[in-house]
Amino acid sequence: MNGTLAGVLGTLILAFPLAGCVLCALLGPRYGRRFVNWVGPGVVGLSFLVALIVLAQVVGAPEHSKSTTVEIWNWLFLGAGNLHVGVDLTLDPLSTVMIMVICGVGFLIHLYSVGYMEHDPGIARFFSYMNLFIFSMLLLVLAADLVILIIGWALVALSSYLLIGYWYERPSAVLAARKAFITQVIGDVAMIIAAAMLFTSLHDAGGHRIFTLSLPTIFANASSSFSHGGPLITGICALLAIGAFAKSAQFPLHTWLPDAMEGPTPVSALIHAATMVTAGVYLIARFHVLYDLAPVAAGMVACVGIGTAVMAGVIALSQVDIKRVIAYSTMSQIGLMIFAVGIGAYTAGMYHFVTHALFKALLFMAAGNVIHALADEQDIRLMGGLSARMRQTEVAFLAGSFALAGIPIFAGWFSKEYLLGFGAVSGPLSPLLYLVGIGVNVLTGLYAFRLWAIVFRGEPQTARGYAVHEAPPVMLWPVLALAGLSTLTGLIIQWPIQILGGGAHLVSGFLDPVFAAGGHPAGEPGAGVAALALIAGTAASLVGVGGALRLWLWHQPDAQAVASRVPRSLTLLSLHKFYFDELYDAVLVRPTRAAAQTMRRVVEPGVMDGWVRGLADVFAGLSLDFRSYQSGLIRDYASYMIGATAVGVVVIVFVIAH
Amino acid sequence: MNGVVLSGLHAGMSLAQVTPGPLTPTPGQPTTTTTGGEFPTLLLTTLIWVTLAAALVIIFMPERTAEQRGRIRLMALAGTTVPVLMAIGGLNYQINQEGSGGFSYVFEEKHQWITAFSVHSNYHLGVDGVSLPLLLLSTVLFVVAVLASWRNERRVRLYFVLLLVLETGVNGFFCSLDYVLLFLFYEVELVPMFLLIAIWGGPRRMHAAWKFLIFMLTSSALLLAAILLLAFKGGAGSFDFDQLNTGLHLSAGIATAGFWLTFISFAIKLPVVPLHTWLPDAHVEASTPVSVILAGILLKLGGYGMLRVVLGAFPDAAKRYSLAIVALAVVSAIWGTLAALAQDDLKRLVAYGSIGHMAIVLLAVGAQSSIALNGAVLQMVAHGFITGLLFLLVGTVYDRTRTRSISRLGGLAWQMPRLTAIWVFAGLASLGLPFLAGFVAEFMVFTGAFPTHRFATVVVMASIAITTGYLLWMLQRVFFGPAKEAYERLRDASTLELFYLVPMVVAVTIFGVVPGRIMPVINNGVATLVARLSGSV
Repeated sequence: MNGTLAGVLGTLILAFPLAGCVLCALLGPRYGRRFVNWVGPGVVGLSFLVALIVLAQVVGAPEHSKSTTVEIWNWLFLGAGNLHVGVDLTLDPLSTVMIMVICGVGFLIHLYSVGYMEHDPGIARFFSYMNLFIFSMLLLVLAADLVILIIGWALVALSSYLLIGYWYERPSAVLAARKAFITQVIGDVAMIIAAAMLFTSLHDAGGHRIFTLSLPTIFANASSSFSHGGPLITGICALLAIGAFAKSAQFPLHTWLPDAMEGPTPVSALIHAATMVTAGVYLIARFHVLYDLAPVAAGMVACVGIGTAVMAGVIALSQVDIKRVIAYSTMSQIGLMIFAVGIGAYTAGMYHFVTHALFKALLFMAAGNVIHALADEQDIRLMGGLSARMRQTEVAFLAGSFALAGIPIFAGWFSKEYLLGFGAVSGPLSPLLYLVGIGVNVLTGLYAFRLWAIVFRGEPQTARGYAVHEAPPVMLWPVLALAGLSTLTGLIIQWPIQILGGGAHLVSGFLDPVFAAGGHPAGEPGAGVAALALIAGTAASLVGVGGALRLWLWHQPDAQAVASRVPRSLTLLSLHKFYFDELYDAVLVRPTRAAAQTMRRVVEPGVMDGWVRGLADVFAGLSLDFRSYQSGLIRDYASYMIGATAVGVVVIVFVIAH
Repeated sequence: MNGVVLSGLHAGMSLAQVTPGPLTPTPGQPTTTTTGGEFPTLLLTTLIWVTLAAALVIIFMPERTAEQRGRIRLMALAGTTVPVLMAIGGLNYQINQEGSGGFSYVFEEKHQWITAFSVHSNYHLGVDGVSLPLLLLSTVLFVVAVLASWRNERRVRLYFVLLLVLETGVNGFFCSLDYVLLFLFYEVELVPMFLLIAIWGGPRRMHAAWKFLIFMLTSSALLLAAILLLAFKGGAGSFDFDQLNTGLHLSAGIATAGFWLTFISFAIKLPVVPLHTWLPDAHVEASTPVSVILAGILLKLGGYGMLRVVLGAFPDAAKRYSLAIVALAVVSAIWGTLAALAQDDLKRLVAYGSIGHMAIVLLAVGAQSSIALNGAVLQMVAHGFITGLLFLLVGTVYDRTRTRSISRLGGLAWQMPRLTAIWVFAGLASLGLPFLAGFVAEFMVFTGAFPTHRFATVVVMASIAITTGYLLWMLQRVFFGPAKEAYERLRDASTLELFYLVPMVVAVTIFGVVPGRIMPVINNGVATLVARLSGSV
């Protein structure tokens, strides 16, 4: 693709949502709901059309020129050899996949919002924030300069903050927004330190310093700047990973995601399932050249990913808020993606990102239909028996659940088993990691179908449950569209025969060139291993689903009875989300506040102001003392004079004498 | 003069000085260059003294009727608007000069002034990339302060006279290129500020005003001692920057003494922990417009002094004690932000936050690299606008609710959505959101400081997380949550308020979105400093 075209397309794709954000904010209140209902989703739709053109261009480009980087704005330039930041955009297969998902799924969710937010008076503000998010996310994935990437990274956090706290009259929503933002700032700080480290350590092959944060230049010079596995590159990759963990809600920066469910459901679908939380996966995939040089950091990423996947899966089993269950399932699935990029299976991670974006947005929106129908009820214990009255939503929800659990022919099955196949050959720990991955499959099947059984089957638990209606078309069609995509995507882009043969398919054919450049992506599993992994993984998923149906649908044995036989400590651990909130509160929040209060009440007045006042007291005391000498009596003054003269004489005699 | 040589010098200076190394020495190189051709050379004189002239006129204006007081206000507005136009014109001229060669001081005016002593002093004015942006900040904030004082009915004439005299002192300080002149302007600013706090302040205003005055007089005394040391022991026989801030090689003892005297002097002003206790008191007692000036501009005198005097006159000593400076920056950053976290008074919160933000400037002063110092100048401008905006906003809340206690406020977003939006904007700007003024500045300081002071930079960056914490926590407690009955009848922003708030919002956005326009100008000024630090001039 030539530079001018890339520049125009990149600018357009960013300009539409930004314009939408400004229009909704400035003109929305005046022109009202109809206006923002057109502008809000419309601009994202336009961006999606541009994204389609980009896709066509990138697919059509010859093999060696798939990636185009253009500078559209020389943002900050302090002279040659000094800081230079340009708004550079990269259009390559990786960013194309991201913008397709962001704009495509984003457009459907914007449409859905028109229905979901139908009665909300702040709709202009809502769409303004949503468009701001789309803009920020696009900037993040298109950025070819680390500073611009960090800017997008932080703006994403901002729009997330604004949208989680959208219902600002709810104290819990505002608290959740604050928590999410502070976690993101911790990630941002880590990213900026990483940027500073990169900026100061880059050399070209001849040993000359390079002053840039331009990503292509960083990647091109990575091998000449860093020794393989050296402490510097490991540190940089670890810091970048902290940024990724904050964004992708991975241990130990994961506690904000479930709370973020305080935001409106379309927000959960767009930001906290499909796009923002996967930015960490994108980041590591984008920086694969660096991670290939830092195996220790990459290994840490993989372990954190798989660990989070297990932990979140266990927590999801016991939660009773419909959105939180899905949120923990998101955390778990992203853990798998992080695991994949950690072991170098970048293509597999991105593949699962695509399918996950489809089925997870679907699950959230279907859950939104349920919540909407039940007048904002989110407790699954008060649901049940909805299948008779919300047939289409249930079908869509089931499609999403099948995809999530990894049932054959649904999209999630292809991507997840493909991903776990890499796990089986990833290195010395692979058998163990693979077994854990199999365990995650069982957990996924369990919590996915627990949710479906409790919400849609059985008898309604409240009077309201008998009077529900199916969602209006504007909320139903996006859900059904995503249901279709969740079912068919895998079939379309990857025929089963290919995965059994272990050969290239559309996704890996498209993405692999990106990761081949300069890096060492993980080796594809051989046909035998892949088949074995596939069978074992699928069996595990089916075991999970079967277990869920027995426990929560047929009650043979009943879930309660089983739970009573599990050690109490385990159920409590799951119920209380492993006590992370309590731990952080006790270890971080309270001590910081206590220190601040001590400073305010004790140190600041006592010590800081104390020495000033002490000094003032000294002078006041001295002045009191000296005042008594000014007695007004000639006799006193005469004696001072004589005394002073005597001292003076003594001093002069001694000083001059020596 | 020497235009060709200077442009060569500039090209050398703009090389990155991440770790200051020796540049090609050009001994005896004068830093002065031709004045801006299209502008009259009286630009700075006019800019400085026009506000004093306006003050002199106001002294003779009656203030008995409302109409007469209105005329005084208009006069003050006119007097403060002229410098803004001149500062914008000057800065714009410099921005468009970009690429036509380097400059260090422009719009210079130099006249023999005092020649009676063995050392002589000049009436020497001039600006460069370090002072021009601060001049812009100062002139704009004074207009905002006049507008924010529009509803003040107490002793209107005296109030505006003091405000205008204060502006002369501040602008003069930024433009002085002679130490006597610099010191005089530094003093001129004290008395009006003392009176502005003491007469129009809150209940404990006398305490705060005296505390301010004593701290500031100490600062002045230290500065004076350093200036005398420099002029009489430096051997240049002059108070002029041309002699003292270029090519002068001081003995180690004098440099050390001068460094510490000036450093402490400006550390009081900046302020640096533990010399900061005047600041919260002064802010709490001062009225809103005075707080804006105090935080927005007066603290910048400290930062500017650090760059111009501490680094400019004592570069070797500054390099030697850079670790001490960085250590103090770390302490200030943590102290300021942690203390802000604990405050219940909105004004105190913003005041302690200022200490944290100015610590970032101090970090750059300690790091002494080109990128960090560029960031420091931008950070001063950004902090001036953002904190000015925050104090104005505190004023809007206080005017309506008669309280600044965070725990007593709550749910104000219901009654004042527009003001809440501006509050959130200011809060986000203050915590360094990208595309707003603070981000680029902080990013540059961190990038520039990191190579030489890794640990310190990381700690100061961590304080950003605390900053985020106290700002979001404050916004949450004051504006969000359920509406409170007591505040049911609050009005949203008035036209007058929007009239001075919106331009501040615009300024913060402009500096954040297009920093590339102004950074080359700043870099030209910083390049001189960096060259000085590397020993080449």
